[in-house]
Amino acid sequence: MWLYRLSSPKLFYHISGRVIPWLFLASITILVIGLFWGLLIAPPDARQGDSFRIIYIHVPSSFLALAGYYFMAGAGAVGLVWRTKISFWFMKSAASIGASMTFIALFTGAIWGRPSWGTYWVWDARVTSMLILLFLYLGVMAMIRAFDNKELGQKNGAILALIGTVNVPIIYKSVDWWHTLHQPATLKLTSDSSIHIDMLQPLLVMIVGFYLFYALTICLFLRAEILQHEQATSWVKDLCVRRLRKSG
Amino acid sequence: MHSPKTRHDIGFYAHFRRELSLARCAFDATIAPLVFMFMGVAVIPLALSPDTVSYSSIAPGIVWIMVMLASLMSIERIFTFDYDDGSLEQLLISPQLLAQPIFGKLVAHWVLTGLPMALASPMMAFVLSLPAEGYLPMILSIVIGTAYLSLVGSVCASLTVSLGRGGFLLPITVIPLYMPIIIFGSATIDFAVSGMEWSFPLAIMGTLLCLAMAVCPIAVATIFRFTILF
Amino acid sequence: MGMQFSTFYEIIDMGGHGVFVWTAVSVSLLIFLTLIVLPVAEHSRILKNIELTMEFEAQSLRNVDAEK
Repeated sequence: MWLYRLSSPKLFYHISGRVIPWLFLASITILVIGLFWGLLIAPPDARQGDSFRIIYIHVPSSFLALAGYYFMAGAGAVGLVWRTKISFWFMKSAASIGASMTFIALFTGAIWGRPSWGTYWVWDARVTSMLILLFLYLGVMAMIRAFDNKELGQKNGAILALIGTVNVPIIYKSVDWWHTLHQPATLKLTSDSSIHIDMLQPLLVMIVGFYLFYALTICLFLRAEILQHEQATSWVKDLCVRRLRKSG
Repeated sequence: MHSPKTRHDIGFYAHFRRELSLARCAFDATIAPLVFMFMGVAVIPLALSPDTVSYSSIAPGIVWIMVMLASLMSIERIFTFDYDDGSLEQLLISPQLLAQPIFGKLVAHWVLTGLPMALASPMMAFVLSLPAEGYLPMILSIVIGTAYLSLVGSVCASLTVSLGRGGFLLPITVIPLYMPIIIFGSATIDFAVSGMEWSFPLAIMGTLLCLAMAVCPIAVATIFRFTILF
Repeated sequence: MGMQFSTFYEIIDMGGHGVFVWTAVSVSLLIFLTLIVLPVAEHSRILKNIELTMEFEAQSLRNVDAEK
C-alpha cells in the first residue's frame, strides 16, 4: 500500500528530497571506509599481489550491473501492467546508471586483466556476457529516446528490457558453451572461491556502499525526470513560487 | 460474419499467400538480400591479405555474419507497409487472433529471404573455399537459423515500426539477441569441417527455433496491442 | 591488522601494480561523480527554466494591466 502511494510523483519528490542528504552521507561514508579498508588495510593476495585490490570496485559494480538490469526490467513491467508513470521514469534512470555500472565493471576488469592475465581484453565467457549486457542497456536507452511520443518510447523500452531478461540466460549459456569449446577454462577471474575473511569484509562493505550509492543516484535521476514531466502541474508551480519567494 | 472461434486458421494461410503474391513483383524482398550478402563476402577477402589467410578457417564466421546482416536489413521493414497503409490496424480490430496472421507473414518472410539465402550459400562457401563436408551443415544451419533470426528480429521490428526508417535503432536492439544463433550456427559448420559431431549445435538451434516459434508471434501481437491500440 | 603500506610512495606504487589499481579507482570515481553531477545539474536547469517562464508570464500579465 505504501508502495502504491509512493508511486505518486509528488509524494516521491518530497520524500526523496528528505532522504537524499542522508543517503548521500551514508553512501559516501561507507564507500570511503570500504575503499580505505580494501585498498590500504586488507592483506594483499598471495598470488596476484596488490593488483587484486581492484576487486573492491570490480565485483560490486558487476553485481549492480546485473541486478540493475532486473531492477530496470521489473520497473518496466510494473509500468506496463499498472501504468504508473513513475516506474517508467525509474526504468529510464536505471538504464543510464546500470549502463555506467556495466562500463565500470568492464573497465576495471580489463585493467585487472593486464597484471593477472597479461592482456587487457580476453574473450572470456563472463567478459563477453558483460559486454553483451552493456549492449542490451544501450539498446534500451536508445529505444526510450528514439520516439517523439515519449510515452510510446518508454513502453517500447520496457518491452525491450523484458525481452532482454528472457534472453540474458540464453545468451549467457551460449557464450559459456562457446568459450569452453574454444579454449580450456584456465583463465578464471576469481580462481579460488574461498576468499579470505580479511579480504571479504571490505568487499561486503563496498557492496553495501554501492547499493546505497545506486539508491542515491536513482533518487537524483528520478527527481529530475519527475520535474521534467510534471512541470505543467500545479504542485511544481507551487514549488517554484515558494522558491522564488524565498530567494526574493 | 463468421464466428471468430472457428476461423483462426484462415489468418495464417491468407497472410502467408498475401505476402508471397505481394513479393512476386518485388526485387527488394528476395534478390536484394542475396546481392548484399555476396557483395559483403566479396569485400572481406579484399580487406585481408590474399596470401597469408586461409579462408576456409574463417569461412563459417564470414558466412554467418553476412547471413545475419542480410536478414537484419530485410526484417527492418517487414511491418512498415502494413503499418503505413492501415492494414495492421484493421488486423488489430478484427476478431481474429493476431498471432496467426503475423506468423503467416513471418513464414512468408522466411520463404522469401532465409530460404533463398540457404540455397545460395554454397556459392559463398565455394568462393571462400570451405571444405566439402561443411556444405550440408551450412545449408541446414542457415535454414534453421534464418527462421530464428526472422522471428526474433520481427519482435524488435514491431517495436520500431512507427519510426519508419529506424536507422541504427533496430541493429542496436537486435544484434545482442542474435548472438546465440551466430555462435551455434558457425559452430555447426566448424564442427563439420573439423570432423566433429555437428548435429549437436544444430539441435540446439532447432530448440531455440521451437522456442521462438512458440513465443515470438504472440509477443509481436501483444506488442502491437500495447503500442498501437492504447 | 593495520596498514599494509608504511610510506606514501608505497601506497602509490602498490608493489608495482599502482598504475592499474589507481587508474581503475580514479576512473570509477570519475564516473560516480558524473552520476551525481549530471542529474543535479539537470534538476536545477529544469527548475530555472520553469521559474523563468513563470516570471515571464507574470511580467506580461503586468504589462497587460498597465495598458488598461
